[in-house]
Amino acid sequence: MTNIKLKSSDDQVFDVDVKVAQCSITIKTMLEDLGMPEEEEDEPIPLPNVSGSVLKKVLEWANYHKDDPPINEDENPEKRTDDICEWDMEFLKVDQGTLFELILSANYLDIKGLLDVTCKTVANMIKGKTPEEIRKTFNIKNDFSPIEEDQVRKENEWCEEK
Amino acid sequence: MKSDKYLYPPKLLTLPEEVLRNILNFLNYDTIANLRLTCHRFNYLCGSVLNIQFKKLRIQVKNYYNLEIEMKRRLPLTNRNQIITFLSDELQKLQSIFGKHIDNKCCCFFAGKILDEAYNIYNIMKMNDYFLDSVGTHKIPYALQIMNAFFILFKKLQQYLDLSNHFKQYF
Repeated sequence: MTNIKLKSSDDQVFDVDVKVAQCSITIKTMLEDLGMPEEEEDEPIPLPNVSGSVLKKVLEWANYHKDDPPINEDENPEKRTDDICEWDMEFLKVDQGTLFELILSANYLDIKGLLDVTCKTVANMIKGKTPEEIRKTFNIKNDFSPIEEDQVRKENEWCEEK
Repeated sequence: MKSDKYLYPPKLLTLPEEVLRNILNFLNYDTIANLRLTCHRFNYLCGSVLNIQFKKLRIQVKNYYNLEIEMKRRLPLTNRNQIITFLSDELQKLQSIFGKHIDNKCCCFFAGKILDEAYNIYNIMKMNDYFLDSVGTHKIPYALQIMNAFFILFKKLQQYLDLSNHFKQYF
């Protein structure tokens, strides 16, 4: 089992199983381009967009999911969000800031599985809510003028019972 | 270092557009239409998703329709032909209602619910392809039900378009 070193934006170094690190396509490509590190003293791979605390979470997720089969992409992918496994649900019981940081990191590191499950979690927070409830949940400022808001509302009214 | 690139701590609206689109991928189009009402950014983003998906669906259905005609599917599949023809026609009608306004950026394809129903039918048709020979058209009655719902929705949309003063002044 080969290990490699990853360095977070705040200079924390993580010693990681290559298989776990390669869940990230970004890291996988880097390793393919640079070649596998041979010596223990090799420079750690810098990840300037990921902080140590978030990288720790990402690696925890990758370690649990390292043997998952690859995700195949469909023409019209199913919009299911109720297929989040229990471990992930527990793992993602975090505050919004952390959740969004995980999304940004999964996006930067190109970890499709983690990106999907975090995005599904956000999608679940949007579902079934009124616009006002969504604004409240995510601290969104209503920047419509009353006329603009009315316009969009009227467009959305078409399918309501009359 | 992070703060150079992203606002910290990140909020939903400070996420890059590609990420927001990825989140929208997991929502049905009715929810996406509803999300437009929260703020300008989502109005723009969701509007663009609805337009793109409407266009994509029309192309997919059209190709499917052409394929169906070309292959001259056997008799038991008449139902299929009816459904895909129906879908193709209805989408064409919607295009003639929305098309020019979308092009002029006057409004987006706001009928998210219709997109949901149409994608449902289309996906069932596609799914049916895989086991067509053995099982035949057992899922079609379900598709017919959806088609009926779709038809009602379309009626409602038309009523709305006829009734709405806002629309008359807008278009």
